[in-house]
Amino acid sequence: MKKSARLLSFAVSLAMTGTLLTACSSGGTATTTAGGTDTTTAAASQGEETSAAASETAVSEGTTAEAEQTSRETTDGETPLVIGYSQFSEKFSPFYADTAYDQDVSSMVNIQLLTTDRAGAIIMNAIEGETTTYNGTEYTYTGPADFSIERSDTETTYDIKIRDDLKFSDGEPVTIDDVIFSMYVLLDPTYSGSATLSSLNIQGLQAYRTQTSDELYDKYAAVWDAAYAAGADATSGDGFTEEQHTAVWDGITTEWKADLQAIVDSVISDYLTDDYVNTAMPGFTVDQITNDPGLQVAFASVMWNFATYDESTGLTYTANNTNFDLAGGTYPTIDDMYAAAYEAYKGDPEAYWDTEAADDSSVVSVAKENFIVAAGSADPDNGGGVANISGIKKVNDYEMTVTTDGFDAAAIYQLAIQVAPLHYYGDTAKYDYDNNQFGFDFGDLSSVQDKTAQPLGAGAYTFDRYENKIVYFEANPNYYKGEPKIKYIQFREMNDSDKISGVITGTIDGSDPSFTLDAANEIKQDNSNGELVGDKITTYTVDNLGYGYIGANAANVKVGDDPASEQSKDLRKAFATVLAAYRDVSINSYYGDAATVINYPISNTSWAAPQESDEGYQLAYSVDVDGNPIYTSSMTDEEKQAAALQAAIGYFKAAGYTFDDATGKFTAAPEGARLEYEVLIPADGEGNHPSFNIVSDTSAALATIGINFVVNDLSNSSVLWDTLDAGTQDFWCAAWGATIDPDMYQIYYSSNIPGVEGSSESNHYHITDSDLDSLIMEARTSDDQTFRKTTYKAALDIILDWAVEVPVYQRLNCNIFSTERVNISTLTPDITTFWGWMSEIEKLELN
Amino acid sequence: MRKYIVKRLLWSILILFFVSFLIYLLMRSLPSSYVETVARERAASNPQVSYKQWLERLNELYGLNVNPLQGFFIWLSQAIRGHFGDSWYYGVPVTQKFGSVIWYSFALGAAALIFQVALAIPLGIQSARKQYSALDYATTVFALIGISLPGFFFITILKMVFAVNLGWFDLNGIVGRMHDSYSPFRQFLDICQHMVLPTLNLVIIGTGSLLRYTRTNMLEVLNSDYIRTARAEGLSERRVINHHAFRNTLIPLVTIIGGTLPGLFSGALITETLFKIPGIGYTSYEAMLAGDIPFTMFYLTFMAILTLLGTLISDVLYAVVDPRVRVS
Repeated sequence: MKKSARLLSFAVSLAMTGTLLTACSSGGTATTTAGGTDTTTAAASQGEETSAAASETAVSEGTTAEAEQTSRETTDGETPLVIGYSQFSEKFSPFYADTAYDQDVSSMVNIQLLTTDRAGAIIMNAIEGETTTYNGTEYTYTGPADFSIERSDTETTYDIKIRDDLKFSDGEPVTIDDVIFSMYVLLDPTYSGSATLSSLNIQGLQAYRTQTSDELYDKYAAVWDAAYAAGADATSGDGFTEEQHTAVWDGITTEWKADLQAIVDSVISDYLTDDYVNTAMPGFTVDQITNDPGLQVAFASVMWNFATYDESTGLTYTANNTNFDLAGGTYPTIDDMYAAAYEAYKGDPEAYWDTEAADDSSVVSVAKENFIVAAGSADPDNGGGVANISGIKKVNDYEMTVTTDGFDAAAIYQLAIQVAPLHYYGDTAKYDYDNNQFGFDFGDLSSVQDKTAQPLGAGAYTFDRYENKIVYFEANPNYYKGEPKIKYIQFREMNDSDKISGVITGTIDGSDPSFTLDAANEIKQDNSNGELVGDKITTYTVDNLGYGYIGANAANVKVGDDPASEQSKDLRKAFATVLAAYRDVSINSYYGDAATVINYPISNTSWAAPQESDEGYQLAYSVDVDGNPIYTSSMTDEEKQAAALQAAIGYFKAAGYTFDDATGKFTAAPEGARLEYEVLIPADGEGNHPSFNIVSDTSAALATIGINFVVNDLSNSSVLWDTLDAGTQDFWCAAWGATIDPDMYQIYYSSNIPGVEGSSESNHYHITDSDLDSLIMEARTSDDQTFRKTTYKAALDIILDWAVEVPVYQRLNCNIFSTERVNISTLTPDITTFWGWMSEIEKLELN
Repeated sequence: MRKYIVKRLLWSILILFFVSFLIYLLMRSLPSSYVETVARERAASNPQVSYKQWLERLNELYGLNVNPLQGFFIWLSQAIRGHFGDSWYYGVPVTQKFGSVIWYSFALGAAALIFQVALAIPLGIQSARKQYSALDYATTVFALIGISLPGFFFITILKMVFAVNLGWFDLNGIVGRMHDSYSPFRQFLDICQHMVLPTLNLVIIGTGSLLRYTRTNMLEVLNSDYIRTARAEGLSERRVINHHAFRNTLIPLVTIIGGTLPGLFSGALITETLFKIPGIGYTSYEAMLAGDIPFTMFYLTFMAILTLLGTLISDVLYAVVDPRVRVS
């Protein structure tokens, strides 16, 4: 026993000596050097690490790690501010920063051209400064550039004037050439970052990106017109060669087939149900058609009236009498469908398009565009191609203009780019504005990409390095708003679960933990007053830029053929009314104070979001089929849910459902509708989603009246997105990220339904309403905010009337700071979604 | 022996080919690829450009517009020339990223291994010598706790006790906030201090199995005839254990420890992730989550090579320390 005890104590002491001594070792005499000393790279000194690990026992002086705490306060007075962040992707360049965290690093280092206030409104005269009011307090905003807009009927010119005293952190002056260089990088066709300046309709941009000049464009447009006018069968003629004729008509054929394929896709997406299959192609099943492209063509041909189907004779195209024995396994291809369409319209693509086309983009115009770009870029006269973007013009060293076609209210936000130094990211030898050189070779952004991990700019801080999962910053003495008060800042990677305890233990001074019920409780427990703001932690909450919703696909959830009919709307309202009734309880239990229920499908952060004080504001889906309110103020949650179910019964009846009074259940659905619908919810397969209780409670409630609302909890969210792209969903739960401008075009405009050519693919609701379309267009082409807000309110009412979306929650984000170590009074007041904690970082101080 | 090694190496190459092929196929078949995720995020955060447009553009940029078979051979043809490409997620060459993180993992793994061996072997021998004693039961119980409970559980406990309650260590990371203002030697100590909790965790979860292994082998040896003979000859207990028993126990131990040596380069995924240690485990975890094919291919192929190397070393070592294997 004696020996074993000795051995045991030896082993334990061996282990403990190592651990404790290293723990204590940093408590030794603090050797202080100036902060920012270049460190030896730990990775390179691995050999030392292991060999020195053995000699650690020699270092036995020091007390405990408390000394570490002391050393923080006693080094050279330059204690760094440490902010806890989630994982960085090391793409810190203003061009390639992708994640929100990388973008924050980029924002620290760079200045943004456009200045916005706490509400997200643009400060046009930022050099001089403008004063706006937020929450009753007046704030003056200044920035690096003035903007002015000149509008005509056909074009909009943005005049950008930058301050003449701006400097990059390396002392080089910021001039308009740096802005022009930055824009050209973002507009280069090989640019692969996330900025979307190229979606702005800048004059000459398309020509520059495709390298086809206007002259060549006109030349090949004439060739195309001549070859097209000569007809498909001509082999020669004036103004085109035989080769060009072939190219023109091959292009038309390709586009024509693509358009027919779009018809097939759209039919499959919208009409592939048992009812339609039984009517159009009896004997086949939905599954068979889904799994065979040939049968899809056949089904679409019948549905689109190109062909007829008879079980005995098979499929026959009416135009050319081509027959396919579907039962025997012979299926048509898209080429066969094309042959029939060609015959039906005697080879005239325009006639075809006038009658049949699946979308707004004409077969002829697309084919023409493709031909011109292909031929133009191959033309020997193209020479150096298109040298510049005609819409971007330098006025002087500190001023430039950007001219776009038409007007789009949201467009100016695209100009909120960060100004990157030409002399660092590009090559000054390759910059000569007058001779169309913009700092890099067209199509070659390698010099920009090389600097992705090491940004340099004119922002408040300079980027020192990213090492050991920490980004190190140092104050920029050249910052135009004055050198920041805190000399060193570190962005330190933390696990989300460690962020709050990290602030408490002193590992970090501030962070942005996910604001959940648990997180809020943890903060409250840490503060002695039991509040979110207390002696340990100060918490700021801001609305998340976006909102959660439950969507309905109008193309699938409808009565008869028309998703816009009153009956179809009533059907969707029946579901929406019940779903809306369960929102309060569900969101409160999932988020607590960290989210609120919203009543319009728009983020609360937007100036266009209707407020309770606004006229006409009402709770979402709170009236019955006759328009009477279904809730009273004295109702409990249970009573409200019961009232909503009663209102839903009214809507289902109005939609044409058969109700059996004896059993209290619906027994039959009208044509085109069903007794069973499915809702997709990406809740990890385990119910982990804010809307999960809403849909499961709704499912239980609807089951009592004979409606089967199937909850499909997806463990993999990509299944949801694939289904939305295919347009086969009934209902689904998701959230929208929003942009600073409330433009609704991408999400609700009728041509943006997935599958339609040229679509943004975001109108998953399949809402097609001409009134809504015109309201959206009116609002996006107006620069009058009051008018836009009224117009958007009308648009939101139409969306709610279609009942394609149940607005659910507005989530909050939070920033926390250590009350003990950060001088909270120097932090920018009234933090909002658009005015983050970093907005006036130069004024921030430590205690 | 040489023939044997050459044969094993050739087999290894064949296995490696199929392993890397399988990994590539799996990466390409993931339900949501890197480009899909990026395209989705970009389209969601700014709907000016649609998901499909992003997808098309990114697929082309990242060379995913070929089928998986072509893709694999394109990768293979580059890889055998040592070109592993740029990591999509980290945006730097794969080998550069690997080179900058691997030594953290190695240091962590080496420190943990040293402590594990230093603890497991003496304790294992003692518990074998005193089978069914209090010490034996105590070490068995602690070993089993270490083996059975997951690493993240211990990490939470360690953080709770040493970082939150006692305040001795930072919650995570590899350096403290004042790291930059330290002298090089103190910077090194700073790193060592931050390595304490991760190492302790690896020691806790890794010691048990080695300890049990030592104990079992020691028990077997102690019951052998030659030990009885040694005792019968009147040798001291100390000499019997240290010179006769332990040396024979060493044979399987050396093979086992030898086999784990390449594992020093594989990283400790959970420990590194929870302590935010920028080692290969954490780095590859992030890359895999993002669906970064070049990095994942490199790392997993590297792991496969290590595994093959580990078994090869084990077999060779076995032959080296045990003449009977050499003869057969």
